[in-house]
Amino acid sequence: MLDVYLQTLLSGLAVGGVYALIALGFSITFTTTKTLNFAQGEFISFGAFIGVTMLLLLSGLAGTATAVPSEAAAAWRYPAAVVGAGVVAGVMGILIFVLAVRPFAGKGGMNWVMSTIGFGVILQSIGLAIWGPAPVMVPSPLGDDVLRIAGAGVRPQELLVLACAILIMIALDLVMRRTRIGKAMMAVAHSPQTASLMGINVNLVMIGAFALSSGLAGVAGVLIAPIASASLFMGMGFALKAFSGAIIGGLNNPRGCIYGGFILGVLESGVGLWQAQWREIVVFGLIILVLAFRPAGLFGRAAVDKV
Amino acid sequence: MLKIQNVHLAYGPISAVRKASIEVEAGEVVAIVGGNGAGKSTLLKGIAGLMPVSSGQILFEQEDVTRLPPHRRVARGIALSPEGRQVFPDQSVYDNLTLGAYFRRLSNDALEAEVEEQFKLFPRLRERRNQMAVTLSGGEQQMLAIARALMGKPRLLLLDEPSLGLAPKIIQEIFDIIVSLRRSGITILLVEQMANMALAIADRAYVLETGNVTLSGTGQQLLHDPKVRAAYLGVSHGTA
Repeated sequence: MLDVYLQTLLSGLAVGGVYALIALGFSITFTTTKTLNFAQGEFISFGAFIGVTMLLLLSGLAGTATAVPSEAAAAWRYPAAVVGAGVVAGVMGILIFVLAVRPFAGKGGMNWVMSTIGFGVILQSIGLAIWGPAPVMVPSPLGDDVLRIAGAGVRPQELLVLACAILIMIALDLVMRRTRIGKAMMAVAHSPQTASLMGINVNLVMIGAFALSSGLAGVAGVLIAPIASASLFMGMGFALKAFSGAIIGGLNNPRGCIYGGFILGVLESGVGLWQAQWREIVVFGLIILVLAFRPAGLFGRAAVDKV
Repeated sequence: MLKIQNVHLAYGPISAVRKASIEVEAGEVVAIVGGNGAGKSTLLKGIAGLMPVSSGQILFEQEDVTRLPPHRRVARGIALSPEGRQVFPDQSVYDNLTLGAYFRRLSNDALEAEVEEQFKLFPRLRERRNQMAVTLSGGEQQMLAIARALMGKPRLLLLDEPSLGLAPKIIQEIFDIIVSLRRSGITILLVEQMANMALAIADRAYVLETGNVTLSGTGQQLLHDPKVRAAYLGVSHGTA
């Protein structure tokens, strides 16, 4: 029985790691620009498909297919696809900021909500025109043989996702806390006006925040594709869960968002073990409950004082 | 050094400063005094670039900076210690100071040396070096805000209400520092409600009333001007 729990915990952590990456992205744009990219779901899907296309092209195959052969993901090609998807999604993030967010940010009103959702719908249509609606099977670079850890069966991709997510988040945490650019971002998060008095180019920092946030979504898309298979409709669900994770953790606290993402992933996987059809009901019921008692999220206020 | 010509600043439809013209010569301490809501802070925000100027011109060292974004004005040598101090509460005293020199891209050693200079001027900050700014007292936060502005090596320092909310003893300390800064050659434009203290150290001063410059002269002239005494000094004398 213990092995089943361990298995559930590990796959919950793996999906939670993906939620955490995306939730961190939500937090990065929210703290620096007070806006959110509601096209984040499409960035995840796009990331997955850019990854698919890169894997195929790098292996000398045609750019589209219904399944990626397993040798195409081997060796250096998968890491290259992860980085490539991150970079392309990052550039798209700059576009969405310039075209759909900056015209409305800081002017009050919620126009940026509609404009980012609209940007996402446009992206999805473009994606459908390029890749079509069918899901694409993506192989894991580590193969699909189930590993046994203390009796628990774990897919190697789940461990890879978890490891990548944790590494990326530790790296970003160090950048935010130790480097000058990180401190500048924290300054912008606290007050763009005061940050500009430090000679910080606030606009550039905000562009960087959107590039980073979108890049994380793109990376998350390629990481999750071998588990969920790539589809232009996959991103929405992940983005919604990640957003919930960010809200539970506290949008204004990047670390809290990471914890929130993991909590949600493990919770979801735990409830799924008990009653799969109750999963969403229990998860979102709990989210509402948490918010009723901690409106700023579990880590919302406390961390701001401590950091 | 600084020449403001017919500058108009507005919050939406509401004018906060109307056709203000002010000059600051290199090496001077110039004070802007006036009551609450007279537009003093707004004028400083306009000079720093935090608020768009709707008409008029701001010249700094003979160059037009009217449309420059704030971070480029800082790089030109205009630093603002803002109203309400606005230190970064969740960053340490040291990090707050280094942020003040952010745009100068100094090496870590050079930064360390410049922070040390500020600690000489503000010894109390040295003791608080690694504390989060939020844990500092109001007076210490004000010192940090001024030191942070100085980290940008400005030629013109804008001080917005440095006495706000501080005890008389601390205010005296802050004003002593302003006097010593002037001796070191920095030009200072000081906005204050504590008119008597500001006028006492100012070479020249302007009185701002509901967005209009109504009076100007040397600090001493205004300090003894019957209108100024009645309007500002009578009120602030007891608290200073």
